[in-house]
Amino acid sequence: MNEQNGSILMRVSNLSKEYVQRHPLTRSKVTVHALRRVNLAIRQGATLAVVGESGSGKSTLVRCLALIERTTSGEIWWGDVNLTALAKQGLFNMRRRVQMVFQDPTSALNPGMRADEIIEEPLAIQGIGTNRERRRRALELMEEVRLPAKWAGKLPMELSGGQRQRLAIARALALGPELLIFDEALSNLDLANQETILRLLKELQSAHRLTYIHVAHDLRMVEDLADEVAVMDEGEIVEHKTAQEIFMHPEHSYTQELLAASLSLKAIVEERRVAEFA
Amino acid sequence: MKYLARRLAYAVLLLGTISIFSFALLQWAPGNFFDSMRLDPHVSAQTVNAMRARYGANGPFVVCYAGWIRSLVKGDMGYSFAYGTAAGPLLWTRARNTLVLTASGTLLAWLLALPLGIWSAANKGTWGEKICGAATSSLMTIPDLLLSLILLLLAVRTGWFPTGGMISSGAANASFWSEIADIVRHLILPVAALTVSILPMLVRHIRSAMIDALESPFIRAARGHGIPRRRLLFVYALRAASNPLITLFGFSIAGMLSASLIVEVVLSWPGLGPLMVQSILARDVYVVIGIVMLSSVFLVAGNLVADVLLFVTDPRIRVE
Amino acid sequence: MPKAATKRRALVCLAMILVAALYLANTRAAQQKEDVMVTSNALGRPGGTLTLAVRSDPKTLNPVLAVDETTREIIDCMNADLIHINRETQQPEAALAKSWSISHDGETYTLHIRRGLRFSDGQPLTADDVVFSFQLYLDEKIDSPQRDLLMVGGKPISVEKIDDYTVRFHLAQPYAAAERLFDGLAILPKHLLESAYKAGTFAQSWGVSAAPDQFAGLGPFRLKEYVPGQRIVLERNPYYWKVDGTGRRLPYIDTLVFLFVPSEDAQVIRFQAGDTDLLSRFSAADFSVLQREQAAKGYQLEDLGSGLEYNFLFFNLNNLDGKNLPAITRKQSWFRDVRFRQAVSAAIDRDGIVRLVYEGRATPLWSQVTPGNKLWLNTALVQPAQSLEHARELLRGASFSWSSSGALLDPSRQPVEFSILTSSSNAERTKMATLIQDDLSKLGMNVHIVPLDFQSMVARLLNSFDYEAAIMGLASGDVDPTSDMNVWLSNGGTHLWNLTESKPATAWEAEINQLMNEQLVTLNYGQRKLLYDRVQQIVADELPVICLASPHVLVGASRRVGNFHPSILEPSALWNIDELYVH
Repeated sequence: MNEQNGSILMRVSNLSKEYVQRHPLTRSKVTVHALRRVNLAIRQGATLAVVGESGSGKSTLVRCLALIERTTSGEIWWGDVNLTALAKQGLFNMRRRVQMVFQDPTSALNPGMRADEIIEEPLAIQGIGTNRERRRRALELMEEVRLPAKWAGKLPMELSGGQRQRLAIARALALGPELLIFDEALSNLDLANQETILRLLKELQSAHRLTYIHVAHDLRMVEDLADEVAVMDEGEIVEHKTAQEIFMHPEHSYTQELLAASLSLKAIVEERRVAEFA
Repeated sequence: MKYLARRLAYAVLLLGTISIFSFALLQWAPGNFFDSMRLDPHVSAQTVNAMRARYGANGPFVVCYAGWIRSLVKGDMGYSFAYGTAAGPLLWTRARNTLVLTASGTLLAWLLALPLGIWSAANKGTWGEKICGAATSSLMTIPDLLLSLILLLLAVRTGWFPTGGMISSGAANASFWSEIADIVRHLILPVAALTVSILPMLVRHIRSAMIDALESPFIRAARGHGIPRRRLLFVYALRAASNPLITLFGFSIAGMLSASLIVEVVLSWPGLGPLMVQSILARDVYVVIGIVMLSSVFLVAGNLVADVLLFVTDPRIRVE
Repeated sequence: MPKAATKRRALVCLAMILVAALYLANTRAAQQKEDVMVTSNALGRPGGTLTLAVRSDPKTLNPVLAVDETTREIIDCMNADLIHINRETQQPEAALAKSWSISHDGETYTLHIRRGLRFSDGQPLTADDVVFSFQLYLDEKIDSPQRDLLMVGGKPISVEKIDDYTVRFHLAQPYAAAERLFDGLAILPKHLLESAYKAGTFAQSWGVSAAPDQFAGLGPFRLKEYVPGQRIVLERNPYYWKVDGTGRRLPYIDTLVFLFVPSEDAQVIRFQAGDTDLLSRFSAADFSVLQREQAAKGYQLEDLGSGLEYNFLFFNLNNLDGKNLPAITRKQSWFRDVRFRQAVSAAIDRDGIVRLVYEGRATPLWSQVTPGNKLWLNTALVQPAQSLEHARELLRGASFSWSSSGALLDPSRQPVEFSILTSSSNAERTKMATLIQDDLSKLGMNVHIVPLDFQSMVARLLNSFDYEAAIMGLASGDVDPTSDMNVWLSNGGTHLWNLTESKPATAWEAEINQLMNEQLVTLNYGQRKLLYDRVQQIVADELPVICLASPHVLVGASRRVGNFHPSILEPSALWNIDELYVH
């Protein structure tokens, strides 16, 4: 895939991740190759979708990119900085630039914290601003993700699924990141919520010049939002193209299968949507 | 507040049920205090019958229970056949001693178990953690009785610790602090026995609760924000794990109380344990019921404390 | 008014003379020679502390109400009796009573109390205290466990004060062991207890929580401190009425500490460590363990030979009409057949029991009197060794037979199968049951062992009669046959094998009744011995209880304890506590 247009925000080269697992019954050791020499370039300001079935390694990949999982070998370059070689302090500073939104907002939010505390948490950890400044920033962010300021004192359990995910997005935005990673962040929401949040994400992207990575197992889901699609299978990227190209000319057989499967799925979803309107 | 009121009402209800059950069990248990007196060739059956009648040990269940409730209100807690006095005064000092022992044991066990459990969760799969796990598992297999005897032997062979009792002969007249120091010296062995008996269980549960907490996404998110490891473990993860741990706290009190019965007997701690054993063997019914009730009160109070802790640490409970 | 003044002066003079006279009288009373008892023990060193462990707290410190052994043991150190059984000679001897005389009809006992004795609070002892004490023991409303002992011929002993130092006891009939009755009956201070007795609160007085200054006794020690669950500390009674050969007042020891150590293991460990100075009531297994380190650890152990405890197997011979226990009723036709009981007895390997259960520290028994009871043992009894051949012969004679597989069949060709109850808390008796099970299986009997919690077992033995056979042990407090009256009289409360007899169920039980009642009123020891020998013979022949073994009395003492002469009578190690001393 050509990398001419736009500058590269992050470049992954030969990234591998292995871990040892034990069989739950026999206790015999198995080495799992979660990532096999992955190469990937992420363009600034674009939206990249990483698609694959569960177990394909996509979640592992983005966790490595979000710096919350260690890699076995290979490099992640941010400009001319190799993130995998960073020491503690460098890594700590780098975290402001990459943030992640998780699949299940219920478990991703600390159940014991109020909404404003949740948003302030990353700022507090990074030691940014005074208490008052952080609080003001939290309220701004709530407004930005369309959460009424009067909910600042609510606990996650008092919010709906969609509201929780907005809260999670607000938290991810708090540090002013350049790269936002969504690990199937929309899949737990109903369709109406998915759409409003997608719209919100688009607004935010243009307002803050954000780069997005979306992880999804369903190709069709990313059709509307991704500029590029990387398809993963067994820890490898088997195809990486613009969204248009992927949907028009899927080359790899695995991509074709994936596309076929999601087409029929989409048909079901469409049918349900029709039913809902009726 | 409604939550706490509800827990309190539940506790009272629970105590009432326990009292009825223990009462019924002892009423219907074969044998009674006076039968074994009849085995003494010097005591005639008439004398024994007269004593039975005097102590009202012949009445039907409801009458006995009502009588017991009445004496409970007076603070007597029924009558000890063996001691010939109200059961209450026999129980108070011993209950206090048991409380001192189990509270110190619980405190020490948790103070040790928390860092150990957190450490083994944080270092899951390393050699050190595996050795620690094996050590705790093997400690778990030592019965309390054997453990207490081993500690007693240790005390006897080394002469480092007092081998029984709670306070030395002269110490009660000494200054307040030297009296406390004397009690602490006497506490070392029984507290060690209690702690070791419950520690493995605590460490295992804390470890698994912490592992669960560490794998939850919001901890991962906090890690993504660059939270320092120590703060992540001791503040974030520990707080996330606090819910099962506070429940475990309630269980640990139950474990402590039952272990303390044996430990007290072997290490001659003047608590409820030795009295319980004697009274069960002699069928001194009201003393047994008194001890069961006091232990239940400790247990229920411990669980209430746990509920209050939960109320304080977990704001979700306050949202009705 | 000089006249009035003279009169007043005269009055003052008179008053002064009176005061002086009273004072003199008082000091004379104080100076009156104290009638101390001079002991013949080896001289000891005064001072020091002696520590020993007991299983539990005392239940009360009131001698009239005390029931259990531990409580009595502690109370006995603080009290004294009129006539005391010497634990070494097993004979009654003078105590608070300096001497006594018996009327010709044997129904009146006149006791002369030592003069000038004082309770541990310094108050003098007089006949009033004696009369008051017996009033307490005999009061029906107090239910003293001692009361039944003081019933002679169905009537309570009566007591009468003759003068300040003489009391007279009247019995309804002559009573052979009358002197022995006084043993253990503490004489109590009237000045401290009378008000409570009159107020009807005697049963609540002298409980464990009472303050030390509320107590006074005539024993070698007095209460200093009681710490519930931990210890009771006694201190030397400075008014004690015994002196040694040099005139030094006993006891030698200043402080006596009883620690409450509930488990036998812990007691043994603490004795071994030197924490305690005396050890009694421990198992033969512990004896062997202790013996190994005896030399190194500085303590001495003594095996005193058999005590008075006799363990026995017995069958349920109760009349079960209306009890709805058909299975047991059917088996009673075997149990009632003396040949069946004799066969069981012949098949039991008593030497095996002694060897395997008690590691040799017991004596096999064929009747209820143990060799430790030197005054009353019938030495003419034959002691047949185990003989399966003889047992089979007896069974054959009673029309039992054997199936092809060797199982014993009763006369109606039903297999012989029964269960033996034992107390699960008594490891020795449970072991005995296993050995007996094994012995009887050689006769083709199928025996089950049912270990039960002691109280549950007692409930079955005494109330429901829902048992087939059981193993029990009894330990008389005294060597004299009168202490076992309730066991052998057919209407006795401890006539365990058959508690339902309104009149003797068998001719031999009638004979035992007659013999026991006769020995009770016979004053001549030789004649009584003949009567009781016959009782032992009947028990050995008819086997209402099949006696098995008598465990030895085992005691230990630290080498720092002097004058240690343990006895087989309780309290073995403490009976001469006033003479013990520490190096």
